[in-house]
Amino acid sequence: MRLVPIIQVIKALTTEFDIKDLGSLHYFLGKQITRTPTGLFLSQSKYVEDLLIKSKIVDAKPCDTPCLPYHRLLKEDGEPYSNPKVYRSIVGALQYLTFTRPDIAFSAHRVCQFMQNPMVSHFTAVKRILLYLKGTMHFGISYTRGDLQLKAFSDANWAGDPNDKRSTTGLVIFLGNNPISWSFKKQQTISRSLTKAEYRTLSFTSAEVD
Amino acid sequence: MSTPVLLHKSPFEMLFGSSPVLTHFKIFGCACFPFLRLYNHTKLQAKTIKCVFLGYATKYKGYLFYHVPTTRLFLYRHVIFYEQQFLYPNVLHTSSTTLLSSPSCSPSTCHVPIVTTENIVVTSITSSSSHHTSNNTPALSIVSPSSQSITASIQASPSTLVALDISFNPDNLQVVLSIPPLNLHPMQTKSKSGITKRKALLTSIHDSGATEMSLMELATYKSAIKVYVWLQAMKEEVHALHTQGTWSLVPLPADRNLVGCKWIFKIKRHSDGFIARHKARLVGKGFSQEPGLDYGDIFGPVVKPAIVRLVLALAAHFNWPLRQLDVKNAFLHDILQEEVYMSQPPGFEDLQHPHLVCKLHKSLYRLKQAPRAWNDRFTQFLPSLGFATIYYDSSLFVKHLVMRLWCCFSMWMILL
Repeated sequence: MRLVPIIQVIKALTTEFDIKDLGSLHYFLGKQITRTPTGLFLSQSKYVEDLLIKSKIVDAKPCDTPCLPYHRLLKEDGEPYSNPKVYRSIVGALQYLTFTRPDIAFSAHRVCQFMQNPMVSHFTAVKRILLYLKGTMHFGISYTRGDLQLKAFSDANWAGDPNDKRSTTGLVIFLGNNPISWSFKKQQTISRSLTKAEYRTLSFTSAEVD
Repeated sequence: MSTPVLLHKSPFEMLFGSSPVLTHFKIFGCACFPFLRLYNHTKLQAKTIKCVFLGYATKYKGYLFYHVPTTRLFLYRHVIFYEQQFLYPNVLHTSSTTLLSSPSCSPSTCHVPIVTTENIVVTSITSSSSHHTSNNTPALSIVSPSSQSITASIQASPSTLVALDISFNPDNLQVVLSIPPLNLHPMQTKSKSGITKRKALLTSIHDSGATEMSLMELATYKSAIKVYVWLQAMKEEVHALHTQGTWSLVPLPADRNLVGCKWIFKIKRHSDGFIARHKARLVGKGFSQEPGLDYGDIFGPVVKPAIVRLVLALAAHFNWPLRQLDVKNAFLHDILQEEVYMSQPPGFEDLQHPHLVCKLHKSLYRLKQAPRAWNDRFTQFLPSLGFATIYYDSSLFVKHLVMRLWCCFSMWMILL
């Protein structure tokens, strides 16, 4: 009964466009979507697998965390990495992976900042993310039934970037118990106190919720 | 020798745990080309000449060779052997048996794979003057080899690398040499060595090229036009574009820019790796488009990831059914707002009007405005079905129904 209007719409579209009906939603844009008894499960395990094959670390030992705590990446840090093209390609893929993986979002955000001139130490950080992904290939987000209330959480690390001393905003927005949006972003201006950094974060988050 | 006592293994194998390496044993008397750089005085001399393989050096890791026209003996490591070729075919048996039966090569000492040549000693030349003159005449090849029997021997003194201490000792060894018609010029050519093989590069293209190239995704139109399957694929594509009325042939206006086009070849495979079909696609060279002339705005809106997740979260909450649709050749049906002139597709030019160009009515892949043209067409069509964009993201379309069923559309996917 519920499908009738859908089929009408598909028919109307087929008259106008050359359309192929792929059935119920299961795989699109590199994301797998599976129905579970409680809701939906979103993952990009095939994308991770392809990425690991592409970066040739299929047989490596997995790692438990995506980055080291308090590990600062400097702009000019020793030797430049020999193949910046590969660096950019892998980091771009990591960025796309954050669609279903908030856990690597911060690490990916950090290595993204050195796309222009990657160093060997930066690539080591990228490899650590890949090793973490190897151990957690099948992680994803599950969407379940709950209340439809928007909740937003935010934090800032004050002067977290050693290169320009700017603070980083981190935020997650939940719809009920389902995370729908998250981001890490370096603030535009330098904050002279943690309170100020946190205040900026709050205003950014509320703008995002709106 | 393998014996039942040693479980049918040779003593060498029992002692060392592996069978002896015999790869450096070559057939005595075969033709070979040693590296002669060390023996040369100037760098313009030949790096190698055709010699006869004699045996192995005792104190060095190396082989001994004899060069007939110059009556020289060489000793060196780096050699290329031609074991099918013998300079003196009728002598092969005598020479090899003589060498093998020499006392220094008895089975008891042979486990170390070097044959001693301390006193072995070999070959050549008493009548060199006679055959040098006769070499130049082609009639020599008819002369029976036995008539030119040469007996000689050379004492190799291994203490010097340039081991040319020649002393005649006819009792040690008797070798009968037949002299092939030799060109006296020292340069060695392929035809002189009897090599008539074609170059490997050429053979691979000519012999197995056609089948392999249908299995490869070719990069250029020139290589693809020779392969039947690719030609068929290109014909199909051009036919499809013609039936859609993608372009019309017009003369190029003076102040307009001409955009190039090229062929892209792709092999579509099934999930098990078998080839489903060969696909040729004509694409525009977007990089040769001029702003203002060929395109204006090119931004094609795409859906925000947060909106996709929001819709999925809502779908999970309300337990909506989700459907996925795919628009085939989405970019090929869109009507271009701008006037774009493209050169005729390579290989399918109009023979009567080779100077005309294609004025594009519909968009092609890789044109700069293709995504935007698609978005325009899609967004203009959807309101007729009762869908409206939401305020926060213009890529999400919503339709409200009485039955509390919402339909949401995004740019790339369709969720219902």
